[in-house]
Amino acid sequence: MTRFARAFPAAVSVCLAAGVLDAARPHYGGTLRVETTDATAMRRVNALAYETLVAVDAAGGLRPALAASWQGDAAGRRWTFRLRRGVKLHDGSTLQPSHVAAALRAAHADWQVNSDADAVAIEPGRDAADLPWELADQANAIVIRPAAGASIGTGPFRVERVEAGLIALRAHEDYWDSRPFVDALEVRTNRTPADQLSDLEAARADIVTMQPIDVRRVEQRQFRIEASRPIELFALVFEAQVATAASDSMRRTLAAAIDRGAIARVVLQGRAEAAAALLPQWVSGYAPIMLATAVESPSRATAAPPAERRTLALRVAPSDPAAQAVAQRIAVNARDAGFTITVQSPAGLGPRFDVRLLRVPMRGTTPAAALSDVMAGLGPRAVALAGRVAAPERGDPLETVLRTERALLERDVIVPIVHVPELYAVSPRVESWNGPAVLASGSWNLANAWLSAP
Amino acid sequence: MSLRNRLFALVSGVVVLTVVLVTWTVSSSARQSFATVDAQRSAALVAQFRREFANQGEQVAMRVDRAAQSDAAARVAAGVASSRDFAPYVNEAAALAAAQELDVLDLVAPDGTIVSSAEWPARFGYQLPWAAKRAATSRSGGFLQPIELPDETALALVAVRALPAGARALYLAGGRRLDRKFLQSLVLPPGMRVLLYENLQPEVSGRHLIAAEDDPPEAAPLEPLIARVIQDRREARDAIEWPDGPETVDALPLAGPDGPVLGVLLVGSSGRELAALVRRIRWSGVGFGAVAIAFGFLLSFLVAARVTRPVEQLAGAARAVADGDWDVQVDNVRTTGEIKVLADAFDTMTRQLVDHRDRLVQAERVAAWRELARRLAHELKNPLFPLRITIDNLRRARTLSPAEFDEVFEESLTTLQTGLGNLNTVIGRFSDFAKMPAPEFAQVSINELVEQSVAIFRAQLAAPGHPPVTVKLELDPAVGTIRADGEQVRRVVQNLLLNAIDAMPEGGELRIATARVNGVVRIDVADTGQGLGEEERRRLFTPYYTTKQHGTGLGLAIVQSVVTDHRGKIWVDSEPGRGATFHIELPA
Amino acid sequence: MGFHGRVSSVRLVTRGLMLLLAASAMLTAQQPSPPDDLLQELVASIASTAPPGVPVKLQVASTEPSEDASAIEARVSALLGARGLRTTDGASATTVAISCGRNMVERVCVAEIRGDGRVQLATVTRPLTAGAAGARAASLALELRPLLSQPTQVLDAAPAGDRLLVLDVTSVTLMERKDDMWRAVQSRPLTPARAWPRDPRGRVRVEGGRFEVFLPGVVCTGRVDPLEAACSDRRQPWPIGVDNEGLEPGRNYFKTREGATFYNAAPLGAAASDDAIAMRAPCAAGIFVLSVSGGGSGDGLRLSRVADGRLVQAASPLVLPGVLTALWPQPDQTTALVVTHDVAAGRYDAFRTSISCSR
Repeated sequence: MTRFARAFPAAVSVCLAAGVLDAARPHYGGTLRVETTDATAMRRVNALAYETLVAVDAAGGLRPALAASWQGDAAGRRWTFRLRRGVKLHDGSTLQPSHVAAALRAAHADWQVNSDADAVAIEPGRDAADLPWELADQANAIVIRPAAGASIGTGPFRVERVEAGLIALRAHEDYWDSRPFVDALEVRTNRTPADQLSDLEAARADIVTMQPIDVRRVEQRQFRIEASRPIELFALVFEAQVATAASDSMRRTLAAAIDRGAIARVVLQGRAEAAAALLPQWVSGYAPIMLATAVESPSRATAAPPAERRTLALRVAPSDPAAQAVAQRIAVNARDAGFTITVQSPAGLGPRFDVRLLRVPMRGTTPAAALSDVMAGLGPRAVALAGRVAAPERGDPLETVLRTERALLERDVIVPIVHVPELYAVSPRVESWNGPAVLASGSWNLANAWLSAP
Repeated sequence: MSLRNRLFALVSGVVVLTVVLVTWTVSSSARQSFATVDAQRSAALVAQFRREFANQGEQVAMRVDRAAQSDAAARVAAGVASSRDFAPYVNEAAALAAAQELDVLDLVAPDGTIVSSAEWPARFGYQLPWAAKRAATSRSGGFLQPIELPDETALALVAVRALPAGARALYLAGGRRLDRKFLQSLVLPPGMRVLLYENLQPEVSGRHLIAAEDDPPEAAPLEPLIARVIQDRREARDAIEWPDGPETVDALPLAGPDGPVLGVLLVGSSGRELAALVRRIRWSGVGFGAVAIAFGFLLSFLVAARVTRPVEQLAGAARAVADGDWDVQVDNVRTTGEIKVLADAFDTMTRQLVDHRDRLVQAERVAAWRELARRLAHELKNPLFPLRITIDNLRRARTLSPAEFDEVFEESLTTLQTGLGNLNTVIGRFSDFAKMPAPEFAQVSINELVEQSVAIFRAQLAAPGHPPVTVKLELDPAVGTIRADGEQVRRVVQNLLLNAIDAMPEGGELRIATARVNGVVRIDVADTGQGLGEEERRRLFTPYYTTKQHGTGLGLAIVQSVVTDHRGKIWVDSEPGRGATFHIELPA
Repeated sequence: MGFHGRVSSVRLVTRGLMLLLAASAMLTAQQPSPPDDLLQELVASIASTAPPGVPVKLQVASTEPSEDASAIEARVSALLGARGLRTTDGASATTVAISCGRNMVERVCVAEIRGDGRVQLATVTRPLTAGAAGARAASLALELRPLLSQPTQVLDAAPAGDRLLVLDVTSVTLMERKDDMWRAVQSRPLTPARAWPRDPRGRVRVEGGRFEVFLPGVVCTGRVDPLEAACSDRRQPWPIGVDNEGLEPGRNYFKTREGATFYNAAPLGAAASDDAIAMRAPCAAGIFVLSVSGGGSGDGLRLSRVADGRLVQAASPLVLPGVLTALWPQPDQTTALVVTHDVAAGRYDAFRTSISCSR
């Protein structure tokens, strides 16, 4: 091949790259408008304003945040976090190790937290080999609470005002990891899912939460979809009157009749994973074994339920179209197994129901914390009906988490259906400079977002 | 029954009879007319339904055609042809169905798998085998098909189109439910209604009956008709009795493409209107009858006012006259015509009666005065003659010697005193009659009075040398007591007894009877004497009239006066030679 | 412009289940290594728990592409055997279900041992990161090394020893490397000459001294040295790593037994391009997908990583000097043959592409 021929591709590449790079240089300025639900907003906005010592990165691993480095002993009983220097708080003052220690002591009364000139030493009082993961949980964000006034953080945005249905944030000019591209964020929480999509289509919003069932609509309109990893669980939870030993075979039959693959693939448009366990694989690492043992265990042999237990009322949240679509499909699958399921989604009080379809978030950064979140979301009554199992403690080994999860699922009082991610539809004018706008954990990477059009 | 009541009854009866006849005639005619019109309307409605059904089938086919020709359907077909992953198209049917206003739309892959379902979105992946079968075999228009829904199975008018998808086909099976909206789209004349029975379950049950209105009827009466139509696969008609009226129902079988009856259309023609009309006629009749009765009442009242009341007044006046009030007038009677003439005549009569009575009274008074004068003259003449003779003798005796004069003087004084005594007696009787006292009423026993009175005369009758008189007492114990002046009544009885005894100088039978009859007490005193003639009977109770040689003739007058004061009656039955019976009636 | 199916009116896209099958087939062929450190410890736990003398029935489940279930099963079976525990495929009183994977924090292998009416668990984990400053992921880049250039369309090229067997639309040619260039040594025409469809595609497979050539509706066999080729009209599956019935006659696509059509196969492609193959990187675990991105005057190559069932860009795209006409993985999946057509120059260029790493 001639030199020209060899050089040609490179030349082409460079030219093309140059053109591409010019077009892709991020812009500063503008207000990024986000629409989401109340619960999501509080969680995600707090993460933008208040940082943790370490954070989960785009790939799902740990990266330094307020802590530049950390080291722990073999058992994890003593950890030292060396803090990043020169981190400015929202009020312009500098973050001190004492601030960090105070914040951690406030969150964990049982920890021994000491600080010196540039580090914080933590003794959690137990073996905590995954303490960094625990500290990546937003519950351990460093929040400075002055004697008077609002809380102060170190995050890329500061909360400017909070009104009914609106949280306004402003870029932190002195953010330690460089000022965000956009000047401001407006987070609206009072828009229904349908209205959010309409706002996006009408260019009244830039990023909105979306449901898996809206994937096709969003794709057809050429919007970008950004998703976290599967961080929510759809599960059936049976009520007390059908959680008895006499109804064991009924629950098992119903659980076995549900075609989770079709729900994940079709109902949720491929934006979900069939779930045989409460925790998704990426959280627990052992999810496949729950499916294997579910199929093969002889004690799970199903018999046809007696006639009087074949009619069930399934309660689902009226404001969740995805949950309703899932519930309808469960009803169809159940028909094949001889069940008649009536789906209820009353706005207020409704008739008595036998089983609920719940959508449970998991926020924890460790398997134990995630399972604890799930159990809290399912509710103490459901957990008690399933088998009076205690939630795992932070720092519990994986085997404890596995045993707890197995115990919760043993009687089919809690039946996992699918895991779904948090999905966002993103306007074409929103660009991401370094990583997607929504990270694998669901966190908003909005410091790196910029607006291509004003 | 009074004239008013009779008149009222007559008018009312005539009117009611007329109204009943008219009502019956009119309602019979109405029934016949209704039956004829009903049959015509039912036939027209059935024909209209068939046309509408065919039209709807064509509409459905056209909409499914449009859906099949849409870009969305083409995208789905292309996707289905190139990939086995139908997930991206799971929600397409709903949008297509909404765009074409179809209730039902399924997109079905070549192997019969549902790609997307508008009516049951969760049913993707399941089989819909009839789609491919019907696309190959059905007519181009719509056909009836049972459709599965989440909560039920329903009947729909559907059409199937095949869209090329690679080497095979994507099927669009869409249509409209035969539901209440469909029935409401049929234009119905008033009084008619249409129901649809979905024959999708083995047993006939009213739960599958659909009506156009919000409140579907009770299905039980229709079930036999529906069952018959399903079995025979032919139209049928029945008359159904509902609580609020009858209804004629025509039932048409609606068959699917394979032949079985999937539904039954019921066209009802209500007899309620007829029943309502008949009821209205009847009530009108009743109303007219009531009006007529009221009219009759008014008429009778008016008639009564004009006729009966004056007549009653006349009758009342006549009764008053009979009771003795001859002064009564009916000149205040408001009436005209003959009744007025009658009233005037009555007034004239009473005036004349009063005149006559006055004159008679005057005449009688004169006669009585004459009689009194004659009687007085007669009574006084007898005692006065000897007085005159005696006075003459005295005058003549003046010429006699003193001893003869003293003898004659003593005889003459004796004769003068006797004569003056007689005069006194006569005058005393007249005085007694003149001053009869008012009766003093008390409860007295008539039978006791009679017995006491008879006892007084028993001694006289039993005296030797008295002519034999048999006394018979027939006293009714039921007579009891009456309100009367006992003394005066005793006097009356005694007077009658005396007269009876005086009427039997040779003896005879004296019968006294008492009885209580019709609210009056009767006292009869009968003798077997010589009897009384016509003239005597007439003048018997006139004062101073007597047939006796002696007596003042006041006894019976006093008797009559007492009886009259007691508001009673006294009369005599007698014939010459057959004795006489005096009857007294006193109110009890 | 371009004969590739991408710009034709019928877009045939690779997806889902078939791609997964392709991945599993390719992975089977590759025999990836199981997480041995975890399995040793896990087997020790199983052996100490399972009743002695009773054969064990193994069920292995894994969702990690890098941890093949059958490989794990084989390894566990071997390790159990070394400890005196026999495994069986039939029914057994003792069942051991094993799952290996990873979560955010660690690699995990879990075993559930059922036997004697009891259920016991064994869990083995190894942290993913050392903790301190966090490991940095390797950065990857696509490399394109020119092979040869000729006016006739190159369909495929396969190494035959230290020589190269090149298939084009008219002949099969054996090339030698001389002066840093490939030069033709022998050539045999593909007889009888045929009219190939637009966008002709072909594959050549060399095993030992023999080769097979796959063309639309034609299969040729022959020897490398001396070069001989005999062709016959028949249709048989092509060696592309996934079940197929051969290229459709007169067309440029494959069909599966179920009737699905595709150009090429790569694991878990979601909205991938029409042409995509699986590759491995020497410095990074997991499967990578090399796909074609179109546009402008030339095509480009895009390298993506499979993460959570989605494609995540793993390296910068590579711009090709023309329209891509062939993209074939080599058997070891570390390199692939790329052929482009420079229409203006009237030339077909063949390249070898691979994934290079840096730290």
